[in-house]
Amino acid sequence: MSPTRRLILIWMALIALTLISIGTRTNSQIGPVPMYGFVIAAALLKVRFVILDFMEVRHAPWALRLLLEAWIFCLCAVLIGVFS
Amino acid sequence: MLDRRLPGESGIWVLILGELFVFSIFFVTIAMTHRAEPDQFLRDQATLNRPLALANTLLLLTSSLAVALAVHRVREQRTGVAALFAVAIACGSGFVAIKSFEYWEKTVAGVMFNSSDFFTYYFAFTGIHLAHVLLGLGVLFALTAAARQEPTPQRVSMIECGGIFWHLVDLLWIVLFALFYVAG
Repeated sequence: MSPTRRLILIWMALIALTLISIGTRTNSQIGPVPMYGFVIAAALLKVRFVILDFMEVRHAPWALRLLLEAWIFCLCAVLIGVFS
Repeated sequence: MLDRRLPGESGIWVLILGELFVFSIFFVTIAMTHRAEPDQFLRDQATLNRPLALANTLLLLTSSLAVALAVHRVREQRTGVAALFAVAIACGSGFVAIKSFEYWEKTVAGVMFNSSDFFTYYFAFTGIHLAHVLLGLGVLFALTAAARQEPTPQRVSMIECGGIFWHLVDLLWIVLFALFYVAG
């Protein structure tokens, strides 16, 4: 897959995740805590795409990649943990 | 075995990590406020202009795509770089215009910095983010000029650094948008 095609597909995934997140607001069957967890997880998944593919950390030295992946995971866990 | 390469230079990553640290504190603060005062938080959240904020999110995501594509083209010495940076600048400018309108809309409705904890954090954190967007627009203008010149390794690296800063601006908004506008 060419880099251009890959970047465009990632952008489409980012748009989709954004719209799906907003869509969960109208679903009254999901409880507030799972909905919050989903919105946060979706946001951090988008952040991960931006870091790995737009910032090109996917092929960066492991120390930087692991540090940023750890940050994404910790932030997600803390934001969900604070709310639960 | 894939060669691993540091995008940009180490200096930009020191800046990125510092910014992520500071904004993480902001993000946790918003979450804690939501947890501590859920009714007030949801009441205030309901007064926000979500369609405009969604437009802003789409603008920044698109501008990031344009910048990522532009950086690739700079490295490959292909054409279309100026047009891609122009798209990114247009999207970023749109973000500034929409955000300014949102602030104005709130102000004329009498909603301000000290109206509630939610709005203190809303104006403070989105305001600091907006300052980053303005700085980022300046960076994009500089990248457009740099891309017109000879693509020496140092210049390409500098352009990568500028692009990385713009992606930071995008990703910070992704989280702010989720915490202020979407998470209900």
